[in-house]
Amino acid sequence: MDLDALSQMVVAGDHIGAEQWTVDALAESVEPRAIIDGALIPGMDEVGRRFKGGVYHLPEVLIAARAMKSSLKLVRPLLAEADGPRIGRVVIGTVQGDLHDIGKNLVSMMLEGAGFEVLDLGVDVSPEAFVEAAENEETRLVCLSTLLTTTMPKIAETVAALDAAELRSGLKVMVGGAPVDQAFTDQISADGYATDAPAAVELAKTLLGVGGEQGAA
Amino acid sequence: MTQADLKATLKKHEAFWAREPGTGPLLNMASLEGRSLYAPLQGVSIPLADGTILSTQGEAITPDMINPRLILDAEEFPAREKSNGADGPLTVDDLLVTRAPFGKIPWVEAILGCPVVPRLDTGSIYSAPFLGGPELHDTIQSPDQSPWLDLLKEYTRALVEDSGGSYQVGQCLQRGPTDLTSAVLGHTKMCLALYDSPNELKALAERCTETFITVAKAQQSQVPELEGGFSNPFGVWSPGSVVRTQCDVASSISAAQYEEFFFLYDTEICKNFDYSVVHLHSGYLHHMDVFLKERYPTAVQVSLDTGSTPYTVHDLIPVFARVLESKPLFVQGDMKREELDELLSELPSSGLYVSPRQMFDD
Ligand code: B1M
Repeated sequence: MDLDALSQMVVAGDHIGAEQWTVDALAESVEPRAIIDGALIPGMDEVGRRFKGGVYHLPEVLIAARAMKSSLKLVRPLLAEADGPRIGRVVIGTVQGDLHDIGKNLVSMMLEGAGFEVLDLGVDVSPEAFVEAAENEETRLVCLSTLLTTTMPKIAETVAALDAAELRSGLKVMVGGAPVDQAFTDQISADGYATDAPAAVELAKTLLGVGGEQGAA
Repeated sequence: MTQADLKATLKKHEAFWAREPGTGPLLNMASLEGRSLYAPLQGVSIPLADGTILSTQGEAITPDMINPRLILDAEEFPAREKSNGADGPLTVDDLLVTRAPFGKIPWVEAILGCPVVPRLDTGSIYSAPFLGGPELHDTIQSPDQSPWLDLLKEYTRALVEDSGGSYQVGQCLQRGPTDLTSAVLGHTKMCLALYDSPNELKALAERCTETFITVAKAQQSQVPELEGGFSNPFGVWSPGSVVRTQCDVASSISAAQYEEFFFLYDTEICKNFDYSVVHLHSGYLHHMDVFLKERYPTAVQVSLDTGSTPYTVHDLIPVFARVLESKPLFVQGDMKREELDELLSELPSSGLYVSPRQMFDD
């Protein structure tokens, strides 16, 4: 089956087509890993490029991510059996007191599109909730987003709470959002900072030591 | 202020709206000195009707918990001491001191039916989404059934009484149809609806628009006219009714989507008033041309975003100049002194309003 066709469905946000294509492909014994690496990740990469270039806006990224997920939900369970241990999951949320979720959602979708398993905790997430999610041994990366200057201290508090729970040795912390910069990142001892969603994907790969070409799933 | 001074000030404002050659700019340097024209309650101690201080976190509040008088008294509003109105309307620089109902309450969202949830740690009160999908637009209550609208009217009357003719009373912070549909549905659902249920989304935007207009008119009906007009939250008087709308969430959709789905509703709002201002963010001006094509809105306001935007005031000068070719422009935000100078020297002064919030020297 033509992997490029699925890739195009992702780019066009055709979730019904993507699901049907995947059902058919699996029935024809197409390798789950090939579906992810050969169609879903390249499709979402293209979506990322179009977003960065201003061709796509958030709604297009959202429908593309939905198409990607409609395929991934069928493929992922099979992958676990076939592929051995996974590289672990990413926990993301907007910190406590902040309700801006547009940028965070974008980062979350792009990470999923790059093959990461993402647990999105939503907005207004307390340090305790981040710690609880990070305690799951599969969590390898915690992503903290904020757009408000007034809630930047909550990022610092969350990082401190992860430290206090002695979770930092096993996981990385990435921060981002409009008011966040490298100086702030250094000051609170987070592991990295990204300016936008495509950069966040690259940084996540670097922090977790995942190869650029092959996805993370 | 004497009657003659008042007339002179109002004439300046009229000239601003008309972009009369040889007039302007209108400058508001007041916020630099902490004398905000539109001072919201600072800090987070919100007195409640039962005499306690708002202390619940994350739980919805209801209109019966709010007594406008108590909040008015707690609000930092420097002009209040002088508020007997004997000397006529208060002005700061070229502007009328104007005060609006408590800016922390998301009034229209509440009137549409969103739960209103305080967050004391950051001092904000926000609205939570509540509508399962845009197809449920018919289930949204009529604004007249909402006790929040009664409270807003009561609040507006309390302001008018407190002012006694000294400061002006303006429109509360009202977000426009783009932001309101996102508020009632949640942002992701709103974006998906652009593709999945465009007609229902438009019907929902229309519903939000009707509520917006009802709310704005209900407030204006409580406010006495000043020389046949009203002041807006920027302290500028207009010789007729005035409205401010906004579309922050348009930052995440394309200009074409904004134009197809929401612009006609922002326009509908503007058509219901003699003068209208749309609020935009400097980081997201990709849809600016949409606002310049037609008569409405009659003015554009740009808030300068710091930190999140690649654009400096210098980059924005050509955009601002384009706006001023057809409409008055309000520019507000943090700026360097040289940026203020650049705005004033590079742009036509007629139809220009500049309000630096904080000014940096470097
Ligand atoms: C973990 O790793 C990472 C890595 C990268 C990460 C990351 C995490 N998270 C983000 N990124 C990065 O990648 C993303 C995409 O590439 C980028 O995400 P962004 O989110 O930056 O970009 C998005 C794709 C599009 N951009 C946006 O969505 C934000 C646009 C602006 C206009 C904005 C919007 C839309 C809204 N707002 Co608000 N809003 C503003 C914004 C102005 C601005 N210039 O940013 C800002 C952020 N808002 C502000 C304010 C003050 C507020 N807002 C409020 C409300 C709203 C709306 C509801 C109207 C709406 C939010 C809708 C929603 N569902 O999120 C209130 C907040 C309530 C609360 N407690 O949260 C309120 C307090 C206003 C009020 N008086 O009620 C300002 C914050 C000022 C400050 N520095 O503190 C503000 C800068 C506007 C301004 N100049 O006044 C990067 O930052």
